[in-house]
Amino acid sequence: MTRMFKKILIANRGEIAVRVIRACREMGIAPIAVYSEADSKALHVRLAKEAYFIGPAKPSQSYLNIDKIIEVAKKAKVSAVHPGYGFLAENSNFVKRCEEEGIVFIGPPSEPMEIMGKKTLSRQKMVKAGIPVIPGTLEPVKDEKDLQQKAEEVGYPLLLKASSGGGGKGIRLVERRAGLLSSFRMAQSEAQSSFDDPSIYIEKYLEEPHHIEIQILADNFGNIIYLGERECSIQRRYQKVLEETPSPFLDEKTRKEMGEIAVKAAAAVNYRNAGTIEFVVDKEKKFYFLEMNTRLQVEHPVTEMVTGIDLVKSQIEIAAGSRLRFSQMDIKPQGFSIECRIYAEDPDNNFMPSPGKIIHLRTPAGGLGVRDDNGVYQGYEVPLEYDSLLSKLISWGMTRQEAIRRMLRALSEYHIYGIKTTIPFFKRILLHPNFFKGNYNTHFIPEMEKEVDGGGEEEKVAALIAAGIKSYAESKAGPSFSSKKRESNWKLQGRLRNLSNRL
Amino acid sequence: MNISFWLDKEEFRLNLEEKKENSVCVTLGKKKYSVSSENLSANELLLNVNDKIYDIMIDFNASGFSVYVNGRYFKIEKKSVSQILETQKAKQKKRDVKASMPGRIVKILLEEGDEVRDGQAVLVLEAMKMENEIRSPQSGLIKRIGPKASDYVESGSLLFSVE
Repeated sequence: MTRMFKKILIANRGEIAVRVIRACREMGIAPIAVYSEADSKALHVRLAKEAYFIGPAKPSQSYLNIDKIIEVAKKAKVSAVHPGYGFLAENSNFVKRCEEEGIVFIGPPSEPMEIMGKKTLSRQKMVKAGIPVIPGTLEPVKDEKDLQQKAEEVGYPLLLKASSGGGGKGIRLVERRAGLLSSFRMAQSEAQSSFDDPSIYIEKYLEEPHHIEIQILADNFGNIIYLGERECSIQRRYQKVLEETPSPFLDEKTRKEMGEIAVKAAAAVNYRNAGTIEFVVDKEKKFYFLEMNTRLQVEHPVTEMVTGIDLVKSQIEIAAGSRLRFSQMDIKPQGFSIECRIYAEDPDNNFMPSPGKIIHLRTPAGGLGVRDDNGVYQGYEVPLEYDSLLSKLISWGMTRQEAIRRMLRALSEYHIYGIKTTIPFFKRILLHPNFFKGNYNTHFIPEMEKEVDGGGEEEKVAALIAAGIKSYAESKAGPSFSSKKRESNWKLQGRLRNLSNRL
Repeated sequence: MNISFWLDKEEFRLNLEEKKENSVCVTLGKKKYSVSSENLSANELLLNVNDKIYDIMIDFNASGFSVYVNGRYFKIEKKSVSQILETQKAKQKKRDVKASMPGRIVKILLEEGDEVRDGQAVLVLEAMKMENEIRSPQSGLIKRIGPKASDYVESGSLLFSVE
């Protein structure tokens, strides 16, 4: 009989810390939070049982500070740490420290994490295990001469990728020979600054690719199952924006093959806990291993919605030494689910971050099949220092159309005021005929952005009318406003000249 | 009552005629709208425009209104003496562009002395884990670029001047 943890430290912030806290509460485990200077009033702190201050807002001095996190884990006497995603979630040094200190890391052991963290090493492992990988080099290129030679072998267009990369950074698309060297140098410098490792390898660029990933769960007894796929092709600058399951692109046969290959890939590195195998699928539905994410994914809720399995609880149970409670036969996804990542970004201004205070918040509570995983509240100030993900809005429907319409309904009820968000952008995506038909690949957003945003005209009229009514009400309340309004133009110009002389 | 507003550098003229309490007829351009309104709180306004409902958040200050409708944001300005002056001055004079958030300079795309168009990207600032293009607010010449590539800038520090 395994013993469940009494306390879990959540080494993260924002919506994912809240998500893990919720799982802990439901399991009767005390959730322990950590927070930086910027987060003393954050939602994850408010919902925790205990919370420990870990330092300045800068992540390297707080959420990425391994010594500090371990110190808090000991002080709070927790038996396990959940890393969430980002920050220390894929840092094998942190996993090793936990292993040494006798604290259970809720995730994979350090070894598979290390292998999957190095893109070239994982490609080699996968080839050995008989898993299809994207054609390209299995080793980082040695120098510029080697690069030119290998590039000819792979053929154009191709991608240059950072060996230690992830999250869309350090990737360069090279369409023809002429751009190879300059792109290589840029990719190298980006890889060096982002991952402290300048090595670059080459991958063939697939036409009209889909990004589809398979969720797996692996316990400590050699049981590995897959929980269906997530279609992640709706991306902007290599960052996922919206995900859905099942993929409208896959057929039953490919789906099963991909699931089985994902299980094989996880077994090849002796993987444990929750993980995700990412594939690139070409237009002929041929699929290739892209990478493995050795952690919980941002978009895990869509899988939960269709399988009914709480992935965070499963992670905790596996880490505590329990056997998987279900076999592959038990996994029967029901219906369709979509997730929209709501960021504090301005879609009308090239997605510039929009930090600031949320002066008003009304979330779409109520109604079947809507889930809002958020990390904010009314009156909360969105800090500048971190990722700008505010909330993940998730819908479920019996059919894909129902899931889409339900999402549109939920978005229309989602009112965040004070900061700008990507909510209007999702309405454009969801109402786009190609999305609605399920006919899209990773080029969807760049192509959509070339089209004119026809929306917003009626909102503009309503905004002007609202401003007009406020002005009118004000003019009725006090005469000063209206008398100014009736000033004639020449008088205005005269005052203008006077004022400008004085300044 | 006639009011004129500015939105995205465009002028809009409205005429409001009160029909009864909380109910007005609004003329905007060539169109007429029958509007009723309810003040839900200091900042919340429920509008019924030709029988369509808009649940609006509206913020008010001296220069104008910040209005949020269906998740979209509009900055509506009142035409005032000081504002006209400000825009006129801005047109002739040099504009300093400052960092609105702390971050790292990833790339500098132009050099001092380069010509720049309104809206053209001048440098790339990494903040909130995103690379953001910082664009010129007007056409002109780049007079000065404050930071160098890979510098860390504080909020409020000068990024570049354009004249």
